[in-house]
Amino acid sequence: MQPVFAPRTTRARVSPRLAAALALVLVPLALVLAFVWAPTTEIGLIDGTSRMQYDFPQKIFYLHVPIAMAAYLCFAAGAWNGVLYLLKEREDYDVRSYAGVHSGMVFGTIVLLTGSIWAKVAWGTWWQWQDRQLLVFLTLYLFYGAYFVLRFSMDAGRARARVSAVYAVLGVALVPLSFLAIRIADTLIHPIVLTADGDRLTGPMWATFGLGVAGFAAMAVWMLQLETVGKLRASRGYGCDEERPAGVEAPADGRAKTLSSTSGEAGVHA
Amino acid sequence: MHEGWEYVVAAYAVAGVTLGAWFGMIATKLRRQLGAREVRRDG
Repeated sequence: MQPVFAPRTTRARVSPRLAAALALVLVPLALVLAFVWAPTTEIGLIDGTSRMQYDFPQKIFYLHVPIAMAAYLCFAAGAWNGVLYLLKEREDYDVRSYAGVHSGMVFGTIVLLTGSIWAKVAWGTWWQWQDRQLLVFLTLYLFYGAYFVLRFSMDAGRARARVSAVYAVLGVALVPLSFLAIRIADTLIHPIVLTADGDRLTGPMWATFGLGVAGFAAMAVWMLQLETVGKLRASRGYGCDEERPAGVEAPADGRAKTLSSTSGEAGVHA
Repeated sequence: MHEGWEYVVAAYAVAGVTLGAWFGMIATKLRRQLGAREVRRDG
């Protein structure tokens, strides 16, 4: 989606229209294939230490794991834009970083909820504290949850943007740890299905899973861009009075102006 | 009906409602911003 009254910003690296089209095609396609094409097999999603009560709930895998990867992608985007903000100090990198963390939290919420439903079927409990994969993802989720407390406890401006960027960068160190936790765990409860041997998934399962990953990644990119456009417009005083920073008046010429300063700092940070 | 279908429905419903609500909120916000911009242009 193109900004209707384009605020000055860095150009999106991926076409929003392409991301939207891919998401709208691939996600429904993958989810339909998960039910009509991908087989339900015992070797697919069941490890040696836990057995699911039923096979059909394996279909949750095609939703849960791609959304988890989309969450990781959003958190990584938040951290990357945080790095860019620290290097260049441009407002839109701060907004993109914030949008990345925010989007990652939305996807992360779905991951935790769908994973909990999965756990109830597979392990007979809604949560398994012995599973390191769960604990690392929960830590990541809570870490980025605190991002919002930190960000909104400070007044808008460069200081808040810098602190937020540093925090977003620090948090992304938990992403690879989360990915590896399942493989370095002593007690393997979480099923490992993506191995180098590739013998846990059959061809149709891999294809369906791959389409889901691509589709939800495209959705993450699309939502990130929509969030960024909305936040940039709000920070510049368009249409959302409640989101306009204090001291910023609604612009008549397309750019926000601060009432009390000439630096424009207060008016350009979401 | 497959055994355990209710868990699958619950998981897909959670994802669908959450993503749908999120998209709806963003779309509403963008539409409101677009409306505000057109009011300013006309005014």
